[in-house]
Amino acid sequence: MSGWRAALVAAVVGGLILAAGYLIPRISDRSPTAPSTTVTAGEAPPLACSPGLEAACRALAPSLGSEVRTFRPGSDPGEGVVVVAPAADLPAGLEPGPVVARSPVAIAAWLERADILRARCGVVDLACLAGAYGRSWEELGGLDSWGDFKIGLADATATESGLQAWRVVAEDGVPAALAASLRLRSADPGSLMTDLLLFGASRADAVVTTEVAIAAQLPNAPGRGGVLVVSYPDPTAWVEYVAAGRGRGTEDLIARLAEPEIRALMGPVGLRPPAGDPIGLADGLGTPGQPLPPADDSTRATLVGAWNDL
Amino acid sequence: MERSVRRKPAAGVITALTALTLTACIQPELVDDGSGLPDATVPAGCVEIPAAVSSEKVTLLTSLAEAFNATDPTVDGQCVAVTIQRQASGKATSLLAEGWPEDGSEGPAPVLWSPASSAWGAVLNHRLEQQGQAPMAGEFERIMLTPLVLAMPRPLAEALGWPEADIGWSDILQLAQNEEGWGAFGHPEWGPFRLGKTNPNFSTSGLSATIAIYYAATGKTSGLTLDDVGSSSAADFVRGVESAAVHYGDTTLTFLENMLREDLAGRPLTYASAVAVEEVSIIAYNRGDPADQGLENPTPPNVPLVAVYPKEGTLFSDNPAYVLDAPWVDGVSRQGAEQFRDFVVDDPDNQAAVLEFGFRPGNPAVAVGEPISVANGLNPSQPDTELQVPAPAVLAALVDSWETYRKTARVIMVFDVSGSMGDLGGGGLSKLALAKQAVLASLDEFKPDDEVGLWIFSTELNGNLDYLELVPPSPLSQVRGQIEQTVAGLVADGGTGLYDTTRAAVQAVRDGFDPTKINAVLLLTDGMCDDNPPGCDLDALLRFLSSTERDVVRVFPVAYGADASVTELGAIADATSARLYTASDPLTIERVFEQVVSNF
Repeated sequence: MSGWRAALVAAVVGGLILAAGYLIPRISDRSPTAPSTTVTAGEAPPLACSPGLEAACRALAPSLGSEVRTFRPGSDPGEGVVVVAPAADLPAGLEPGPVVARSPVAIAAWLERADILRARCGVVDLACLAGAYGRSWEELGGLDSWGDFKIGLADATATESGLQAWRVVAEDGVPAALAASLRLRSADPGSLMTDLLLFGASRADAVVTTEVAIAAQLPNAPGRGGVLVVSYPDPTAWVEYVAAGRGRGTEDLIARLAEPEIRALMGPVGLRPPAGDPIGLADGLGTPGQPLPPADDSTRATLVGAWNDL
Repeated sequence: MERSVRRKPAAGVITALTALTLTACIQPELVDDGSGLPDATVPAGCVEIPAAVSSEKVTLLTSLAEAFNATDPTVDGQCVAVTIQRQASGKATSLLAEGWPEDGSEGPAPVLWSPASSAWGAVLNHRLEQQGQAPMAGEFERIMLTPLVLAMPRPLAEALGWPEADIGWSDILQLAQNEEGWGAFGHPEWGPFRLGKTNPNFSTSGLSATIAIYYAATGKTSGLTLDDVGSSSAADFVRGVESAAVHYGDTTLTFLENMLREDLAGRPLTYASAVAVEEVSIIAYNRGDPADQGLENPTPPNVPLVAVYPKEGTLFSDNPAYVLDAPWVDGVSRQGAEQFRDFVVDDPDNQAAVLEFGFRPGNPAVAVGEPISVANGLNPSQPDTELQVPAPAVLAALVDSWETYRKTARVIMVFDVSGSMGDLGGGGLSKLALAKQAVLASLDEFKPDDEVGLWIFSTELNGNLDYLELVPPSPLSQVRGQIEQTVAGLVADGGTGLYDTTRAAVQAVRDGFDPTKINAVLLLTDGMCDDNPPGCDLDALLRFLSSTERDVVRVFPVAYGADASVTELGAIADATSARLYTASDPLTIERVFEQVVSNF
């Protein structure tokens, strides 16, 4: 083989290797469901929201008079910006404010495949998923052409939401067969759900991620491969979103996020209030399992290690 | 942004794109040696935002860039304008990794880059990392997606039970190995099963298809191992499927254009039974515009293609858009590129345009619909399974083993030694000297059991004959030394007895036709036929070349230098459903020759 051709083969082979996830290319955090740089410009400070939370933030934006941006975990949002994100994702020096919303970790599965799982397990929960790891759909009672059972998760080391979803999956240890079934790995919950819709069930039969990220894509799913159904692990982790900011106008906006008028807008986009039941929760969402206690530093370190070992 | 784009690109854009030529090796759509770039004008005083995109979406993104520029976009009050240039994914990766040429030979260094697959962004970062440099391809958004499918003429797919039946590579294997061919399905008139599949060393589609075949051989959808690749059962499966190959090559466009030509000539079912292509290619083909040039009055095929999503699984091209983290990207350029990316991906109207071109939109809020529909022979609910790309060592072994199991070739290389080949070609060397180097280098691309012969031609080389057989077709392992020695001694003299020679070479291959091999003639010439009458009767030659639908000997001409008759040679290629390659700049002959040999 000539040098030129050998280099070419190496490049093509390398490309596909990398595409397989040996080096995961990072996908944009922005949800592409609507223009993401500016939705509504007003007098209020901009709202910078966690990946996977942008769609919900956009629903609030008109009432807040804010434009919506994507907040990259650990980045400095600058002066005069209100961040809505898990406290663990905030950069050092940005003091977490009050919890303004929360979201449980949930399971989203394509209806046709969820029906098969439900027929086997009675309910699509983590035990049911674990029973399917490493197995083919033919073995599970599905179609041969569906190939192997496949799940998707967001990077547990990139966002708090990703870590909490991983925690739920790995709560009772990491099943040996999980690695074979973990076929969709995305940077964050937003890109996880985008990937799920773009590639459909060919890439993942189910994902485990935050309910709010799932809710953002539920209406789009019928146009992109079918209906997604949501179920809830029990117990499950909850991701709490705090508001934080510094500079002019940020305190007022943070306070505004707690007002009943704004809270009322959260339920329909899949966000739950800091306490109590949501108002007008989005169609397709249900009752979450009991909350897991907060994870201590040791548990978090163990989870990160287990993820890196996959 | 308020203005969006619809399907029809501007006439000027079509003209520019029609003139585009290939510069690189991965997924080239046109076969030439040059580096054509679309004409682009940037309003005075505006900052240019160059975008390098893979060939399959040049038409689409050029249209979108025009629409974007028409909105008079600005960044901090500074007007910006996006320009689109065609760059094959692999080549753009190399250029970015090795340093984009500052002489403008490859166009301006891109601010926005959209290869066929996000894999290329990862490759770029990997290569930069190896060089101790920072990654350039960071976050991205997918403009659109398209899966690899088996495109089949509808009646053939229906004979296999399409659309209800699950069809896959295992069915292809059975057909390929069935001596009755389509006769086993009640259609002996369709002949043997013939597969169009590009060379995995040159084409991402070809490599994806090869991966899929190996998976199908094992019954797996992930976790392919070295043992799997090395197993005798995989070898039998791969060899069996590959035995049906028409030929290989560097671009799927060769197959699609030949299929359309045959269809319009009233032979829609015999050139290829199935071709491994991207789903979007079927839509373009069924429009009558396989190259998706935006033809104003395309002639659709009489028999449309339909998509078979292999039941064993397949792979996607996901067309990412990167705003590069490169030294030449300043704040204004970056923001301008981001605006354009948002314009393309976020604007539902523009994503509708993406869909109209036959791609699956990269914005999940835009539903997959027409033309990706059952009515058009496609299934938006498919594929059921995406195959996992094998681990590095496995993939390398897979490509290597394909070289062993691929269909063997039986080729006569016909070499023009007319006097004009002695003219200066470039770099202080004659055209003949450059061509000799190319031929010798190309021998590495054959496998030892490929049968290779060598003829030369000018005029009256052998009595009245214009051609001379120097090495008869024999396994390369036996005649390589002889070919090398013979080529080294060639000298240029005489005229160009092109047609006599072509006819004789094809007849020679026909006489020894081996249905288990790719039977072909590789014809290199720098001129046009100037033989004595009636030696240059093109119509007679074409009638001869196309006089059989079975046992076709493919003629792959290489139009070498500026004086070669592209029209005549193109007609010769078309008559045998092969492809014309051009090396108008003699210095490119080695690369072009490698592309030609990729057909074997």
